[in-house]
Amino acid sequence: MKVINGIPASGGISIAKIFKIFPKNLELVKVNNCDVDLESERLKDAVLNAKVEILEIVEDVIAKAGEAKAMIFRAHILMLEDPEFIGEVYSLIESENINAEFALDVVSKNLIRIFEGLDSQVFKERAIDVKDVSDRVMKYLTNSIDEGYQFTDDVIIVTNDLTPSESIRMDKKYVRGFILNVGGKTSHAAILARALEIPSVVGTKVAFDEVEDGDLVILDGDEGIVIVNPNEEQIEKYRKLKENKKEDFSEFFNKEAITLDKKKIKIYANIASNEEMNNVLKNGAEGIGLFRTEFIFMGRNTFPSEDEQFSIYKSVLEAMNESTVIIRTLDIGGDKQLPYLKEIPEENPFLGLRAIRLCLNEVGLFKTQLRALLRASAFGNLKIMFPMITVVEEMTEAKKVLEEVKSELIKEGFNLGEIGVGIMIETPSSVMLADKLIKHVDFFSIGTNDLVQYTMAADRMNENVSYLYQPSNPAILMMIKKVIDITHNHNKWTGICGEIASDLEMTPLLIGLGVDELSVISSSVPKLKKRIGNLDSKECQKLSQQALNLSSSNEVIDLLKRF
Amino acid sequence: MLNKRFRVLDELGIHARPASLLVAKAQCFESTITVTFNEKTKDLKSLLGLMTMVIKLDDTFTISCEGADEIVAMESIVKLLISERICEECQL
Repeated sequence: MKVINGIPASGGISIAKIFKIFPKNLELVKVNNCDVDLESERLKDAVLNAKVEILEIVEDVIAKAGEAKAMIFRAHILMLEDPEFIGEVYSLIESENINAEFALDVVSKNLIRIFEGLDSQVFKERAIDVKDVSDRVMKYLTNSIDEGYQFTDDVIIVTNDLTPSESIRMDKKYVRGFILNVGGKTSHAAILARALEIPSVVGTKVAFDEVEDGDLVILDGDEGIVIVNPNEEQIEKYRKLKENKKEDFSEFFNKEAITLDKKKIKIYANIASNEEMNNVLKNGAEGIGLFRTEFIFMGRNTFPSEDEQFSIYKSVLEAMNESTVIIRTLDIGGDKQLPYLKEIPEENPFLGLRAIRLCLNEVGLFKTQLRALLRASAFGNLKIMFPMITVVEEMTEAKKVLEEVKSELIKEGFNLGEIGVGIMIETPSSVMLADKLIKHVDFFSIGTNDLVQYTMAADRMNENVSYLYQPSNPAILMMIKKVIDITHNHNKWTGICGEIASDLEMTPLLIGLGVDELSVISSSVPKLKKRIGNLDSKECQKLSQQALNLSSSNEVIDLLKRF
Repeated sequence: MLNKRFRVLDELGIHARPASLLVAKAQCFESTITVTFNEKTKDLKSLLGLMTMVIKLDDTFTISCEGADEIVAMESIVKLLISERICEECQL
């Protein structure tokens, strides 16, 4: 038996066997003096298998999205027949007597370098296609399984780190927990785990090296503890604990969140995928407060098409009937990268080309998303939200593009619905400029995760400074107050969609500051409704006044504990 | 041997889509078919060869066909480039 401590990232208790995911970096070994005929034959088989697989994809894409969308896969087939690609691999096997895997790796890396060095963006981006084709052939050469993992029984995944694209490929049916060596409460793997209600412990530093495949573990996502190979007594104790944790909130599913003195707060849900809609509806969210669209763009090799995006947005709007659906435009960059988008190395990605900056820089990509959104607007109550606005010009520029796209679509004969426009408040400058920005929008939504990070100048992932990540610091509370007051002066409203919205200890403070809407993961919706039902908004106001006069996060936390 | 010269009309140049169409067409014939641009000559049956030449809007390039079916090959290629509005023919 062994106990490993980490950061509690997603609540709940799981007891299951370990499934270890090893880093995928294929160790390619160069084998000399190979049988040339045998290696060529192996390559030929692998290429043939890859071709059959691509042809199946082509048929699938044509059926679902039309001929034009399948073009890129036809190009992949041509690459498999290309004398300068696979042809070169054959030549290399022959001239060097080396194994097919190594020859393929050399040739594809070389080609990728050539493409990446081209002086045209359109052509440069084809490096990803070379990689895709090469990976597919390599998969058959090495008989390795596909990127997705297949489980037949409940597992707890342990690995070093999980990219968002890796986690969305996981089979949710069997995954009972994540244990990661790195990461913090607000890393994307943690956010995703909470959304999927998968108990998780992150930042353990050692878990990957200390547990083995098949070890039975108890994962306590509330306390951040992993017990490896527990004894019967412990298993029994945690089973009981798990049973008791299932507090029944079902009576709140269909209730509104109203304080004792009859003040109504809107409770919306945060989602990352349309697959979460069942959970959203079951838990009784009154709207979608934040649809993080970047997950649609991750875990794939090409941009999602306009039609593909349209059908996803439409399905969410239809599921929510006439209730508000706030969809945030692509928030990529920072710690979220797309494999098929050129990566410009940046010293400080969080201060770099991300979110709205990237979208205004890649207008084509931005317009495709806006077209899909506007087309979907005919099917429900859509509000579009732009992320990470820092200056007024970004706001006006983004709205200009939106208007352009709108008139294009009207000219093309599309039927569009009424839409609202809002922005995320997540940079200190947007707080200071809030009275200017409000004139251009219908609402604000405070993204506290980034706002705290940018205000405290502390990387939430850096364990040495994460103590400065203080959402309850009066500095942050004053900002929230300022933003809310400005919207109310203009008869508009402010929501909060960051982590603190679901922190039940913070709820009275946020109500006191005057927030109109809280957006949380759907599993927190009933708990939050219950919490608000026990509060008096006048008392909350007094509390927030006191908090604003304090001078440290610790003092605020103490005040909340006494409340 | 037959030679013809073309000017690119496609805004993005000979990018993945037109390049794929062109290469797929070239592969239908026995003749040796090459493309010459910027003093470099590449096999038109190689998609990567064609794409790494980076032929852009308004650039001009030459296609050469040599072999038993060179006449039909050239005719088909011209037809493809014109009908898909990828290129226009210009003086050699």
